[in-house]
Amino acid sequence: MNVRIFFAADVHGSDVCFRKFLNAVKIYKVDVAILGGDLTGKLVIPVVRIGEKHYEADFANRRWTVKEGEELNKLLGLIRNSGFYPKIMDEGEYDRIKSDNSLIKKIFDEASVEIMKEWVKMAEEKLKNMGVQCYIMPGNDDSKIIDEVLEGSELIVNPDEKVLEIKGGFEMLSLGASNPTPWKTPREYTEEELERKLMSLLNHVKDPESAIFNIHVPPYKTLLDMAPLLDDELRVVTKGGRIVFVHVGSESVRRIIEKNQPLIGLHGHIHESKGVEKLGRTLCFNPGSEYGEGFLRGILINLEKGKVKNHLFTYG
Amino acid sequence: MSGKEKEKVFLREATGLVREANWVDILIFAALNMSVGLSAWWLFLWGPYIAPGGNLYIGVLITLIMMIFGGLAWAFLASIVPRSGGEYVFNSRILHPILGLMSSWGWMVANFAWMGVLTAYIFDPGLTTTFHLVGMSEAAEFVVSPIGLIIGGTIVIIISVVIAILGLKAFRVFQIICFALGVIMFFAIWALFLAYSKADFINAWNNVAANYGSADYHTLMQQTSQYLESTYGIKAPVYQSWNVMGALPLLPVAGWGLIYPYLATYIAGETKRVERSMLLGIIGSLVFCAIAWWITTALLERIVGYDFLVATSYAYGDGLKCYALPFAPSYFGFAIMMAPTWLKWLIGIGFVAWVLYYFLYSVFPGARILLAWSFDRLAPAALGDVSERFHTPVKASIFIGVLGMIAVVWYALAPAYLASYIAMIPQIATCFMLTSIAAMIVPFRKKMRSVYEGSPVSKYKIGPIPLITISGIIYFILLATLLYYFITNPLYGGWNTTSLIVAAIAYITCVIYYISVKYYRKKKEGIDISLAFKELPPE
Repeated sequence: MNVRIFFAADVHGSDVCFRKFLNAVKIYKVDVAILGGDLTGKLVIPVVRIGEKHYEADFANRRWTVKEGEELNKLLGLIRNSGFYPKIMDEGEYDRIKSDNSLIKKIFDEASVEIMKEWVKMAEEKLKNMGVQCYIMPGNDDSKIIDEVLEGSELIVNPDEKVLEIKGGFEMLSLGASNPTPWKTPREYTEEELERKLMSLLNHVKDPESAIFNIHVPPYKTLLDMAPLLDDELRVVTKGGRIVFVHVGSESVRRIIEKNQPLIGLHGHIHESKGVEKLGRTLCFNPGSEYGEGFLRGILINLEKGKVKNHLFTYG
Repeated sequence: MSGKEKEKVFLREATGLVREANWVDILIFAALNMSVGLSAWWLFLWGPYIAPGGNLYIGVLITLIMMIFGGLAWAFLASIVPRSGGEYVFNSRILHPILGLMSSWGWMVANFAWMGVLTAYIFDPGLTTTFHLVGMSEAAEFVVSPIGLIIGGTIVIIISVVIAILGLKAFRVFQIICFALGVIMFFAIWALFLAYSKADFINAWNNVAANYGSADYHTLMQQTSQYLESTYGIKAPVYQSWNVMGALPLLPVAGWGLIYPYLATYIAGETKRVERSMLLGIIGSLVFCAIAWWITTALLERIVGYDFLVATSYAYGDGLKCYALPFAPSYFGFAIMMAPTWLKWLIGIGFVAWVLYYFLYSVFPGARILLAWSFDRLAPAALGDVSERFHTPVKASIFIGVLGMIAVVWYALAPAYLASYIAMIPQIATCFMLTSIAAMIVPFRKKMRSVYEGSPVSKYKIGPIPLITISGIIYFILLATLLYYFITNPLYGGWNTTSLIVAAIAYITCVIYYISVKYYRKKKEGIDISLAFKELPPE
């Protein structure tokens, strides 16, 4: 059976990218749509009420002052499209929250859950009766609080830490967690723990060679895992006017792929490292990400008779 | 969790929140791509020839001002689409996929020509001038012979491709060494021009001229004056005038260097406060280049005389008998004539260094473009292979090297058929002009509007008009002016059958190639490559 898969990752809360992901199903005539990790936003932008009908926000390196109504709605839309969460509050509320980490966490959790509910609803409305299989998986950046929302959907499937059979009879092994990062994100494991998790999942795969490995973090030392080198203060290291790039992928993911030689590897995590690389017979993909600019990077893969017939990177 | 005081935002722990490259990095990258030392030779040789009396300060200033807007156009586009990797992607998105391809295609065609021309500049005027002036005449003659150019060119290409394959670390070391040697050359020349007098220069010139049976300083001035008056009706000696109109024909000459800081936008994705860094870096590099040229202009006027620059450029350019030196007149050659032997080598090597790393600048982005085309199924998959050993696109780098060899051999055997301006025409007409149009229209493109409005660029306006639009318009006017001069003024030698063929190759082959590849991929592989850039509806 011929199957067309569309894979994207790292939308990081961008409304516009998520809507594009859903629209890709129809435009690209997709059988299976996979969103492979890092769904939620990284920033909350306080939109602070000043006076009666004016609001102020710091966004895109400038301070916006807008009126209630159309101007405010436009600003909220721009913030959402960039992957950030706008939060309307008054000055007193802002002063109280800014120095209280537990309140900031609460805001993030509330915003993440609220947006995820909106997305699930949107997906159910748009993809209903289209016959597409839609898999949406959290990544290392996503708090576990959103899992419940994804699990509650009748249409969307959260494949994280599962082995599932998708259209065409292909088995798909999925893992959204990553190896350690400098930011200590919510779903990180040591290489040893990651390998144990992957080995445990592998026990449920009947035929690894025709399987799809949907693993958020890319394999180590490939074209897919090059990221800027950071110093202790998380500054990018430059030499001779150029950024120093280093490999930051997972060694255990590489070992598992090299040993089991699945049909394809679907990865994200490193936005700068769009690419395709062969590890033995396995084609590993990372579409990269430009969620901040509202572009959905993805990869279309046509599978035919148990093989990869062709692929195409997209910039929707 | 952390809250930032100055900016009212709340952050959480998530990947990618980093502090990145700053404006100094951008400035260095942009300045290197303008190759300040090589462009200076071009300016002081062909400026007085094409526009005798045209004020070099004003010509550079006008180009600088207009190109600052060009720099803004590139910087703003890079700010709106910071992970673009250059013009290929943002022109594809803002204009049309085929126009995005065309802009990088034009770049490749232009750089095919550049690879031949630039390699030749290492040997002539670089090495041949130095060898002659240190008394190594046989070596000087060999390096400019066809076989010398081919052998020398092959060595340069092999070195460049090997460095490209070894990766960024080797590239950085090579680049820093070349840049340092080039900057030292400028300081050495300025020191010499300050330390010696005009009489010292005349004496040095006369000694060198006597060795080759060429006219001495005053005879050359006298004979060229007669020639200029009888042939062109120009009354000599010619001095720089302060007439602005007279300086306009200098725009293409100054533009030969100043229109090239754009390459810095390729690292926009890793730049901290990208709009500020790009603005400071690109504009800073332009100003840096212009200042270096202005200092050299002032010192050349003092030590050599502008009238002598005009005389030597015509004597050399028109092949007058009074100029019998076997190498082109050059600002660095004038300095070498007065320098002690060790300094002669330092200056000569410094000039070569300005050209040597420039070749590598063709290999690196060229291999990246082939890699991008390969990802988008526009080029064979093999060109997208990345070596497991070196982690670089080895096959694409070698492919560019082979193209470079063809260009070198072509130039060595038929140098009349490739010239610098011929290389500039397709680059201006495709890559740069398309980018200027993209800058003009990006705020008004429906599909880009939210991206534009959500970017910091949207805050820059003059009245109701976005600054990026104004920048695109002024940049387009500059590019159109350059093309106008190429077409209407035969002195540039850029508009002829060959240049038309090269420009046609840039356009027609691109369209044919795109259509053919699209047909092939659809028919044989069942995939529609136009989907790659198809805009997904955001509703």
